[in-house]
Amino acid sequence: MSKLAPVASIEIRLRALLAEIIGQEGFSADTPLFRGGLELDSMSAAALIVAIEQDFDIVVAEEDLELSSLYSLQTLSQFVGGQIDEG
Amino acid sequence: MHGSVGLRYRYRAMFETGQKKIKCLVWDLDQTLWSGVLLEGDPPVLRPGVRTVVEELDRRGVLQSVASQGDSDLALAALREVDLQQYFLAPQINLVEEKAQKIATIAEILNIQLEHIGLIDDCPYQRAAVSYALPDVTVLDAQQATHLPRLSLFGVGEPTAEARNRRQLYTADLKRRTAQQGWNGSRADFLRSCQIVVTLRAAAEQDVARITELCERTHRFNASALRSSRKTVCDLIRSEQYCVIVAQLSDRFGDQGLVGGMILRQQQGQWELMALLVSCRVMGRGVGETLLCRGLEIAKGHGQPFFQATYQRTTYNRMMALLFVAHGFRRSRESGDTLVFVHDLKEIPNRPAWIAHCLL
Repeated sequence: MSKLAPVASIEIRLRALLAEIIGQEGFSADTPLFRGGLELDSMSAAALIVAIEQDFDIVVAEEDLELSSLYSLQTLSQFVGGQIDEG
Repeated sequence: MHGSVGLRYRYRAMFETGQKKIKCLVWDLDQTLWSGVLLEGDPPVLRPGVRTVVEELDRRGVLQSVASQGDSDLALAALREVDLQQYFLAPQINLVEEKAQKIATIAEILNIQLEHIGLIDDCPYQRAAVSYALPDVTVLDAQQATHLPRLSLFGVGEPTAEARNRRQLYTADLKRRTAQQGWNGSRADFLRSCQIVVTLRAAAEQDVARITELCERTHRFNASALRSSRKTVCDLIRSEQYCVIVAQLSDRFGDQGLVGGMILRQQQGQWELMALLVSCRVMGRGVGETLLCRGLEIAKGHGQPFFQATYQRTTYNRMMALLFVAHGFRRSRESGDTLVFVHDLKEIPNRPAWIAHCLL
């Protein structure tokens, strides 16, 4: 069995964190996290960032984030992957 | 000194005095609220003066609850009979738990620290047991009941409108939380089911007390860069250079009153965001989002090339930075803990889909 690519394995962990916060499963990796998609608000987004920090043992400077990273599960996985590499 | 500066300091004094204040008074029932013992077959006859005390504390914004070693159905029926049931939030009545455990439960449900909780009880044993288990709780003898309104523990001075309605606000919030806990679907579906109505309007002079109170009491959802400014809310409302917008929220659980505000400043023909704050009580319901979208719409309506927001970073307000980022702002520059976010106004995000109506 082939090993999962890093971003794909990050996406699986992120999906579980997100599903717990929004109480919903079965969304696709390119569903928008905010308007027109999963409808996150700033409080649930903050809960997600804190969960990511704990689960991946990284520090996220939210003011350095851009909407393009926060757009979907996929873009967020790429961002987290980048943070892990830098760490 | 300008008159409104004095007002500001008076409000600050109300909330920052070192004196201990009780935010929730927990009543014992038998021989404290009423004179007999229900389980022994006595009818509930209120002790003299108690009704006036309950009503007066309620008017001042002191929340009240019940912790009683008795039968829940019997006691709740008796509270209805004496027509006081509506005053007591999250009553804890059973024969199983210690009184201290009941008080801890009330504190947790109402999200009030134990140092702001009081217990009034006729039984010296119960008072001592609670003091031993929860030393931060203030215990009072039932004999003191009619003197309570005179104690500084319960506040002095005329309460704000928000204080007078505090019990209703907490009651609505408890109903909402119970509904959310029992909800099986997604968070977004729950929010849609709440029938949230956010009303935005320009602030008026009668809002000054409540806006000042929000500035002082709001920490987590506060992106204010005006905290160190000596300008007062009243000055800002009167000023041509500023635009103060307030948000009121109601949903199917009740009216939450004035829960948020935003201060815009006009400089060289450009509107910019100076402060955005939302009451912790309604966090996660889209009030900050609705206000921020309105700010973007105003800037776009004026044909500005961009919209700038100043954000004061603190230990508690991380989610404010996320709010800006999630709405398409980018960090532009910073100086110490003051950050400036900029939006290019090319695409204005929609207001949250779960908000049923947004009037202006």
